[in-house]
Formats: sequence, structure tokens, C-alpha cells
Amino acid sequence: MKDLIYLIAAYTSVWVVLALFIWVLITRNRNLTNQVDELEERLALLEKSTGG
Amino acid sequence: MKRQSYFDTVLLVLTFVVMTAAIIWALHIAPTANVEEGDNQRIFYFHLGSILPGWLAFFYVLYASIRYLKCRDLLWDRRGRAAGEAALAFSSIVLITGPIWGKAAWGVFWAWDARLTSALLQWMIVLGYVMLRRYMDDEGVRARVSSVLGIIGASMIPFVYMANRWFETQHPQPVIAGGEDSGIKDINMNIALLLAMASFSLLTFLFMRIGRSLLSAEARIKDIEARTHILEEEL
Repeated sequence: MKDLIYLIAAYTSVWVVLALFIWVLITRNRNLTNQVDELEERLALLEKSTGG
Repeated sequence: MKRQSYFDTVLLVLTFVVMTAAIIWALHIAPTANVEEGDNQRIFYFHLGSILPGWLAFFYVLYASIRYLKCRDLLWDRRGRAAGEAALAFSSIVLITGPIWGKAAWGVFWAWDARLTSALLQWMIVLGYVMLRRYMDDEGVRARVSSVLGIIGASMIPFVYMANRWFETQHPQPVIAGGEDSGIKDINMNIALLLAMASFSLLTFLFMRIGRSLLSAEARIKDIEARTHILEEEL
């Protein structure tokens, strides 16, 4: 098992880096969704004020 | 749009299948190359397998940077950025798995030789390429500076590739195209390496597509936000 420690560490690091990258993409997607929500609210207010 | 989403799904499934095969071949089917290192030698497949996609993404950064500097269309800046982020991910994998394998094979994590040092320098450039954007507000300046940095980083690839051919290095001599004795003799080791390279290349392509689409959406939202703000001011 001791001999495998480097192999396990290397393969774990590969998946950790890839998971981090996917997490960054998910966060960016979530921020975009929040921005769209906020824009929809602002548009609804605009429509209300113009009577549209 | 529907066709694009279908293509992404096919790409994702294909990546998953090739990645699974790569793991099985690398960890189970391929034999260990030498007795001294034992199973730690299997780090090689995903270490070398990450270099190719990282460099492919870097070459795309070079292409997108040149296109941006030529036509000043921010679309190329966004494409370059998406590729730069993928290049950073795979360069990081190379720089993390390399020292772990080095410790297992040579007894030390790091040696300041030409190959390792140039690879580290290139990683720092791509990190700068991705991170610098956070500190620049002007889109035009940001894209110009990033393009220049992207070209410098990508131009280093030939040097990093040739470093262990030109200089005496702690890093092993090239496995592929490294002279008469180079090359992997065992068929299953070759398959494991090819599968690892293919799976990471597919993943890079997928990451670049997702990144590009998110960055395009971000730019469109910014534009709609500005137009909404003008409308609010008018009312």
C-alpha cells in the first residue's frame, strides 16, 4: 500500500483539478442565472411603469 | 441551438467512455514498465496524457490572440480566454502529477532543470493570462494585453518540448520521437497512453465549448444590462 501512495496522490490530484475547473464553470453559470433573474425583475418594473 | 446541445451531449458521452477505458487500461491492463518504480510508473499515462490537450488549448490561445489583434473582435478574446482556462487546468495537472512521479522515481519532487523550469514559467504565463483579466476594467486594453501574453506563452511550447533534447535534464528523455531508443514497446502501454491523451483532448474540447458559451452569455447579459439601464434612466 505504501508503494501506491504516489500513484493514489497523482490520480487524486487529477480529479481534484478537474473538479475545481467544473466548479468554476458551475459558479459562472449560477452567477449568469442570477443576473438574468435580476434583469427580468428590472424589466417587469419597467413594463409596469410604462403600462405595458 | 438544438443541434449544438445534441453535439455537446454526444461529446460528453464519448469523453466518459474514452476516459473510463483510459483508466482501466492505465491502472489494470497495461503492464508496469520497470520493477523499481512498480505501479507508480502508471502516473505516466495521465501525466503525459495531460500535456497534449494543454498544448492544444495553448495553440488555440495563440490562434485566437492573433485573430483578435488582427480584427479587434472581442469574440476572439472570449474564445482565447476559454481555451486559456482549459490550458491552465491541464498544465496544472502536468505540474502536480510530474513532481509526485518525480518523488517516486528520482526521490525528489523538483529539480531546476530546463524542462521543469520552462514548464513552470509557461504555467505562470497562462495563470497570468487568466488572472490578469480580473484586474482590468477596459475590455479593449484587457483583450490586447491578454493576447500579447497568450502569444508569448504559446511561443514557449517549442522550447518546453525541446528542452530535454537540448539540455541535460533530470526529467527523462522523450518517450515519443526522442531518438532510436525512444518509444513504448508494449502495445497495451501504447493503448493506455493514447486513450489518456484522447480522453483529455475530448475533455479540453468540451471545456472550451462550455467556457466559450458561458463567456458569450456573460457578454450578452452585460449588453442587455446596459440597454436596460439606459431605458430606466429615460423613464
